[in-house]
Amino acid sequence: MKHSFKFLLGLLLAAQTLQAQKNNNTKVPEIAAKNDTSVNLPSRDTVYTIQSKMIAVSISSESGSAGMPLSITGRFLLGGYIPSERISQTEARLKSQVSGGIASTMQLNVSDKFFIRRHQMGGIRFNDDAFRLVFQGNGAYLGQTLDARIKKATQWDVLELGFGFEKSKNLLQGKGKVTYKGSINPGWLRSYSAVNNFRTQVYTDTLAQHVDVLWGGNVQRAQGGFGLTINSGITYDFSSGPWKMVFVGLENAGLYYTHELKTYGRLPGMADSTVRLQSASTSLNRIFRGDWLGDRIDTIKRQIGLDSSRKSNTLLAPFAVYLAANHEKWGFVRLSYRNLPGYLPRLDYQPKIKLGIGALRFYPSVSLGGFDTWNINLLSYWTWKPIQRGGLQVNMRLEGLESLVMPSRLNGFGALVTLRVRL
Amino acid sequence: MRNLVLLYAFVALTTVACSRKTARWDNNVAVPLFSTEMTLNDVDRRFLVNNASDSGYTLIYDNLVYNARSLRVTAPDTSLNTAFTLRRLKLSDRSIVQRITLAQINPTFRLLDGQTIGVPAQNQTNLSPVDIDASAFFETATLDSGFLDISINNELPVKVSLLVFELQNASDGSVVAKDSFLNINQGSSATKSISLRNKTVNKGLKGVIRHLITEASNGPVLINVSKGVEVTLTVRNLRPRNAIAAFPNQNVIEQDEALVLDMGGPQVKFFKVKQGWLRLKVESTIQENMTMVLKIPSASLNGVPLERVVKMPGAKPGNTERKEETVDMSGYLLDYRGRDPNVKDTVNTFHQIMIVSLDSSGRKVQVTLNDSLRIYYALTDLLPEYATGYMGQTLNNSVGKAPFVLFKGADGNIVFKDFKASVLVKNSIGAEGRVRVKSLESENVFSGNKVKLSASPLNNDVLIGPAPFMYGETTDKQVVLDGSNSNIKAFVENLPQLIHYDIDIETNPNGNVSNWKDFVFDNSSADIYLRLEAPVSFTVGGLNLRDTQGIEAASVPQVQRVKSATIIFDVENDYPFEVDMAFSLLDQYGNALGDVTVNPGTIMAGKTTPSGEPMAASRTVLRANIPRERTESLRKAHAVAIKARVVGNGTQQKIYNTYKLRVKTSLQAEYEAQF
Repeated sequence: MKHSFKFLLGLLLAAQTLQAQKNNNTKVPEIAAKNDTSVNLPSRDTVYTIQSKMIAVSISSESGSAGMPLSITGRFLLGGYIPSERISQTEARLKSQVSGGIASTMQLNVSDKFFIRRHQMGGIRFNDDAFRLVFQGNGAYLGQTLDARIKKATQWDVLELGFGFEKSKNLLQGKGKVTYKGSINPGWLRSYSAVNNFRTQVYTDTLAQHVDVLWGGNVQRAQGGFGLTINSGITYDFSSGPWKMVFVGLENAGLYYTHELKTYGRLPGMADSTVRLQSASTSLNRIFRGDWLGDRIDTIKRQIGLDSSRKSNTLLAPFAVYLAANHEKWGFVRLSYRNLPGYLPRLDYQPKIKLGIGALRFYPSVSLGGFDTWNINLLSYWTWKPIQRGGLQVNMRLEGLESLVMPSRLNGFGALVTLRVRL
Repeated sequence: MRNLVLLYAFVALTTVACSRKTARWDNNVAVPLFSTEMTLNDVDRRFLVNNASDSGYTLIYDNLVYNARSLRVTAPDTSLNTAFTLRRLKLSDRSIVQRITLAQINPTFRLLDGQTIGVPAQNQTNLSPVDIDASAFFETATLDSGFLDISINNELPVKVSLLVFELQNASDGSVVAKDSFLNINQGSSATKSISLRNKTVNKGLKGVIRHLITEASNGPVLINVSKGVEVTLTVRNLRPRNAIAAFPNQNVIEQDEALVLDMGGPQVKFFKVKQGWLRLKVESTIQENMTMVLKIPSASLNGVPLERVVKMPGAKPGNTERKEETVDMSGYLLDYRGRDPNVKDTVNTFHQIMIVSLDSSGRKVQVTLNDSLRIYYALTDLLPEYATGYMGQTLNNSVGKAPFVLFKGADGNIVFKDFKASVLVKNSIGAEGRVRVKSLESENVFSGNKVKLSASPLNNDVLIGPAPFMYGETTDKQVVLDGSNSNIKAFVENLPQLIHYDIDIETNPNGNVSNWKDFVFDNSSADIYLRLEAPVSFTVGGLNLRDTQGIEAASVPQVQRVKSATIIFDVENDYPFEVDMAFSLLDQYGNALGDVTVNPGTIMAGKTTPSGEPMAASRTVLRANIPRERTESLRKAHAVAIKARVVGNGTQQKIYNTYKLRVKTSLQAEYEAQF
């Protein structure tokens, strides 16, 4: 994270330097008009919102959970240690079903014709016993059965290039304009993992002398692959009527191919029967040579029927869909959905309320769904017009601000920071 | 310049962009580790010191010389394979009645109906056939045997002198039956029985009066054209060769029999099954529903006799219906006293009952001689928990050699003082026995020296009684050998590794003296031991683990993520003494890295009988804690020092080499999980 901020500062300085070398006094229009809400589309700058002759760098992150606090889910993005007390507090408040996820993107746009970006995202749906087993372990539940289920989980790390295109057309009778924008995005799959219908029932004896395990499902992992996705969106800008803009868009729709997808699961044909893991019966000599452990691990793998296979596979990319509209009086509304486990369809509403101080503007909004249940958000942007042509704008969008007044609601957090420079 | 900025941004984004950092948390895992058991055979001989003056214990070492398991009773597989075909099926006896009226016999009488006139003699032939519907019998049947009774009831007002009646199949006119009836008076009946063997009868029949002669009436009589000759057709005892019919409920197989089994010698009265199976297989091509009931009064579980009911649905035409069932016979008691337990000398006889019945559905189904019902059942792989009866007289001679472990690896430095030796016979068979020790010879394989045992008490047979009826219990007979009656000292001081033996073992030398009250369990045997008793004492650690053991904690995968650990020792101790335990970690130079706390620190003593034999093991759960601050020491440790101090109770105690120290270990560890 530190590197990225340094990078952004470097770019800012470079942009300033670049502009200072221009001696063109042409006045350049503002990057964003007063009521320009296109920065909301879809949730960060893409080919839909970047204009020509503009460079933008953005970092965005959306996270949340229905059931786990940000202090736990955030660690899976930022890394770090999760204290045992926090885990215990979360366990005490668990509901039977928990979901959560993180989606972050770093992106560089060069006009609306080219971008490069990196997606890191993942989502998960699981039950309360899965939380207990993963975060507390079977040792905390001696003499009890944990029935852990992970319905679905996926994790993606992809690096993409985007080549944009645009076509616009005026509507009949001067009613407005329709713009079609999109991009073709070849990409590199850095890593992928998925858990499918994983269930494990674990009973641990009070002295841990035997552990009964019943399990099913599988885990998949891939590293390396390539794919092709598209972004595609239509924006209707109306010159009359209360509805000023309607947008329909699709992002990151496509396929990724990996030549080696490893799948770990049960041996084919093995029934879901309970396996009892007991002490390995061995001699004193072997105990003190210590060479019983390797055999034991092999024996356990055979007993529980752990098997793995490798084959090439084609994966459906984690796409997102958007439907947005801007009303003259009511404001901006957007419905979106990401194809990630734990992500519910999300509804954002931004009323026509604008707060501001000087060049700084604030636009509050609320959202329902996504990874979390509901959030209060704030979009802000600051425009700076340097001496010579061009301009510099910094947008920041923060989500999850309701936790400032309700700390117990800190289940999710989102942030979007965009730096735009007109050349 | 602009391009340089773009290039800078491109490189920066791809190379220095955030990578997801690792999330970490502490997870508590509990896993079983290993289990082991230790006997005196695992003791390092250097720690066995014979010191009669201050010894607290007497070592009793039983070396098995010979184990006789000749009386292994197994029940032979019992099977029954039976089949039945159509010959056993029968059709119901049924009757139908058909009237042939005067109007049908002679239509001209219609004009005279109701009148009272004199009727002249008549002579008519080949009257018009009358349809007879025999569908109540069957659709069609070709019969192996059976009878058709034709009854003619004369309702005419005149005497019938002759009536020739023919019954035909309507479909092809084939004759089913034909017979003549003579002199049937008015109002009387006559019956003829006709065999239907090899006849095919269809449901559609025609009755034809081939010839009818009636006498003239005695004066005027009332003419009633609705009256005539009433024909009653009755079928009985039908055994079809093939038929399409609604078969009635009937038992087609009834077996109640006693099977005598060959047990290979023993005369068994009862057999308690430890494991085994009853396998049932029924196959049927018969299109009607069947029920098979198998009862085995000889087999009962908790007093309830074995009974299985198998319902077979009717097979589809051309198909075979199959049912299979397997019954676990574990725990069943088999009574081999036959059908009548009051007959005292019945043995090895098995009573079973099988009834197969046809459950009539009322449907008309086709059954032919090719159809069959096959039943197979078998009692297989029966192993006894115990068997009672008379185990017969057997004589086994065995010549061989047995290891003598006490002196395994010993050289000539050990001298046993004040020891006692004996030949011990342990009999867990419920029958008398006789042991004849023809020869025992000790061999030291290192020196090549052999010493033959010369013992006057062994010149006679050793008689031993039956064992008590309790699993694991034995009747023992001990023949003490000492310097006055044998050369046992030289035999033992030869420090043998092998014992050569020539031994006869005979069961029931006096015959069936128990009156069929012998018994064997699954592990019953007659065992012969050479027993040595010697006072011993132990140095520290001699009875438990070696004092210093190497460990390679660093080789355990991801050991650096273990933050703390508790090793749990679940110890069952047969030995009659407590042991205090302590562990400490040592580095590669033997320097102490710190103690490992063990809680509690003492393994409790086992319980013994007053004579010192093991009675009940004690159970102690020890926990060796390695807290966070010690895990660093664990990672560096190259050895663990184990201190085991034997705590005696100040009295002489016997220690059998059959004592065990059973240890199960498990691990609870706090380790750092990462993602």
